[in-house]
Amino acid sequence: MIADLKIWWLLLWPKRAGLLGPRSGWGRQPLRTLVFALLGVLCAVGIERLSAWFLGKCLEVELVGQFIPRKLMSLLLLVLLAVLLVSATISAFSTLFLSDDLALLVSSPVPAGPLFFARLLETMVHSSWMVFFFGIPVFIAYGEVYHSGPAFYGWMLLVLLLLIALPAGAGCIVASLLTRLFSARRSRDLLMILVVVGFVLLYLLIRALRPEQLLDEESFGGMMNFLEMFRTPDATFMPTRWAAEILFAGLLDRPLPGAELAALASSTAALLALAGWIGSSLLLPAYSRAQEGRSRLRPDRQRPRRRWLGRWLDDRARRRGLGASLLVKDLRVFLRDPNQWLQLVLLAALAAVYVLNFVYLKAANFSWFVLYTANHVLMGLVIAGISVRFVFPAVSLEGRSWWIVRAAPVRLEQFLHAKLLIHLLPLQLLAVTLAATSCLVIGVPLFFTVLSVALVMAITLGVCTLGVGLGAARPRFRVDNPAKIPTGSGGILFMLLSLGYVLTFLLASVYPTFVLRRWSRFGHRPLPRPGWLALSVLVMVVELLLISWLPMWLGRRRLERHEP
Amino acid sequence: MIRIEKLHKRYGRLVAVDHIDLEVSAGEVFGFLGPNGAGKTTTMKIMVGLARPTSGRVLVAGHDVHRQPVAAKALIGYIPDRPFIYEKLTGREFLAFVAGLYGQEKDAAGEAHRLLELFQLAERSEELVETYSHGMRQRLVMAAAMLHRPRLLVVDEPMVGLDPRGAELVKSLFRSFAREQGGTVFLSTHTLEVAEQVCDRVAIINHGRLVARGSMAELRRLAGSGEAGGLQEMFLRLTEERPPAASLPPEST
Repeated sequence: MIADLKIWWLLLWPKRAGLLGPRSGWGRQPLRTLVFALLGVLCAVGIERLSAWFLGKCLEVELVGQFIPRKLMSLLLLVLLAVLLVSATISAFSTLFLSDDLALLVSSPVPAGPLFFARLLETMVHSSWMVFFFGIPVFIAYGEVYHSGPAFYGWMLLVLLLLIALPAGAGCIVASLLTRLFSARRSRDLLMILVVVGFVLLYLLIRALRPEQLLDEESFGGMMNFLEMFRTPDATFMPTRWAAEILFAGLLDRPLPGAELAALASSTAALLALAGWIGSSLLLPAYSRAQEGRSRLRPDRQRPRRRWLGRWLDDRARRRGLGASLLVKDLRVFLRDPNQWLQLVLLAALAAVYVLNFVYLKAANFSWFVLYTANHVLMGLVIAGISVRFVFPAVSLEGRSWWIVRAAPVRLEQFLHAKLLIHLLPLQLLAVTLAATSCLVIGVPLFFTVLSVALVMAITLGVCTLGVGLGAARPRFRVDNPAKIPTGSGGILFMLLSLGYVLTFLLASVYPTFVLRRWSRFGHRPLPRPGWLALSVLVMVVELLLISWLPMWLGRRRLERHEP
Repeated sequence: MIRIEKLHKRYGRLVAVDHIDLEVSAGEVFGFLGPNGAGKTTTMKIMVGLARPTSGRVLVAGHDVHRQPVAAKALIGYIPDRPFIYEKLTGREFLAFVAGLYGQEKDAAGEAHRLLELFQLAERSEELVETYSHGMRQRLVMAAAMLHRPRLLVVDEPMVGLDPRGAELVKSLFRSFAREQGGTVFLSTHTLEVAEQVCDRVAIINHGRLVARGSMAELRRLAGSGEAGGLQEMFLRLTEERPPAASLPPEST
């Protein structure tokens, strides 16, 4: 037992060193890490303040005020458990069966038990750190609103740890069983598809129920019916119910419910023991099965017509030069990676909800000009959000194959412009469609619709150029997961700069738009502040010119110095 | 074909390449030998434009690789030691993409097919690269490097991951590329037998400096190991990496 624990501790050494050793973020770039830690703390404080405000408002609601926070906590715990379960299962495929270091570990005389538990702990940390980070401020807000003593925070940590361990164990069991039967990669991809589709449906459902009406007492009945759908406090055997009971006992300074605490702790321990038994028995055979499953995706099983189409496409692309070749390559890589194309489903849902929002807002009798102005700000945020996921990683996605482009007789300007074009066209199409549709829904006159489309196109051009340029200036060729590329300092810098650009550009557009609106209503009259108009237009033009050139120039310079 | 002048590369305080001068003629297979970390890969990366020199320059057919990169790179085919390729493309798609990068419009598909046949990849050319073994990836990268009919092949450790048949194919390919097509091959290798069988001349680099150059026979003489001396002995003498006699295991009787 002691020997197993020693091996387990040793197996965690690379992760511990990566987190705390001299080569970790703290060791290499302490200042940068400190800045990010501070940003994280600020974010957590923001969540706490917002949650405390919201819970306070809920408690003020007459008759049912005391009931809402409890219901919300049950809902929160249920969502947390569901998210953790999905995240742990997807993560378990990678940590248990697809990780590169497994070949070394499996071939060494390490017993399966400690290896499995080391991977289970890794799965637990990978899948839960974000939930833990964003969840704790919400529970602290509960403590603040209910004026709880320090004991509540101790129980909160214990309950959260148990709730995190539970899905990690379950996720490892599911991943082990599925990999024993099917290919690890395919099972993970299939699971991700189901999760994304499920998430989109849930998202659309919640949006359609209009949760903003929660604080509107007149429409409270509908929302309560919605909350009633999640009947967790009544489901006696749900761990989230036990967790909610313990937390509320702590919050209200009541004696702790021993039965619930024992049930939560013993069920977690039992599930981990079961995971250990199943996992250590299946780890080696399932790992072997995972190796066999690696070559399943074979395009030679495509229909001959598709293969012919592929060759025809290659031929056309080659004749049309670098841009077309890059486009065809990027499209193929994108469409063959579920991690990538699944984002399109989310994007479609986002677009649908975006337009839906304006239908609701229009029904609330806002003036078209207010909605029209708000639309631009929201559109800018949406474009920036999409760009951070799709445009910023454009250069980094070349990955370790970057040497192929770099060794070819291709100028970096050419390469960057091709990348810009590949991403700009679909993004412009989306932006124009959203702008035109939302204007139609709001009931904006034709002239202002055209103006709106022009403004959104300028914003999209700027944000897209910034994304490609900064992505080239801060490339992350060694990050294997495309979703992780924007999570570095470059991605955060891009978000901040793109938001800054969107807001200043739109701010500069306010006065010219106001003048045009005045003219459209009252005809040509002398301008009250002609200097303002000239300055606004100048700011917009200069900003657009600068953002179209500077990031690309910087990206090219930095990329030239980057050695693959 | 290649002219390296006072090439120097420094990473912080580490000197990777220390003012080396070298010339390689057209039609020559040139071997670049040296122990691990001697500066071989860095030199080759500078030659193909993947790294920038701290000082000095590399000319390929008269084109400065860093001042006229497009003209120089159009003449070079590069085969790195670790064949990282886009995993989600098939072998044939990868060659089509490379043809696009090199602006190969005429008969690129026919040439790609010929190279896939030559490197025994045609049967699996419609499968994703992620399913390929290391050796297959290495052969695919070689096919890609030859697709645009380069005049210079820069090859870093060509035999890693290749089976004996693949290794023999590659050796004969390099020889015929130099002797029949007048191309130049600049290759680094740890396999001294490969250098002896394929290379017309070799240079040995150690701690970033060229310590010897010439034909294998000339290097043997320089090392004082005689015509019959082993390649390994010659290499160890020239790089002064011979382990102390006291640490060698006793000979078995």
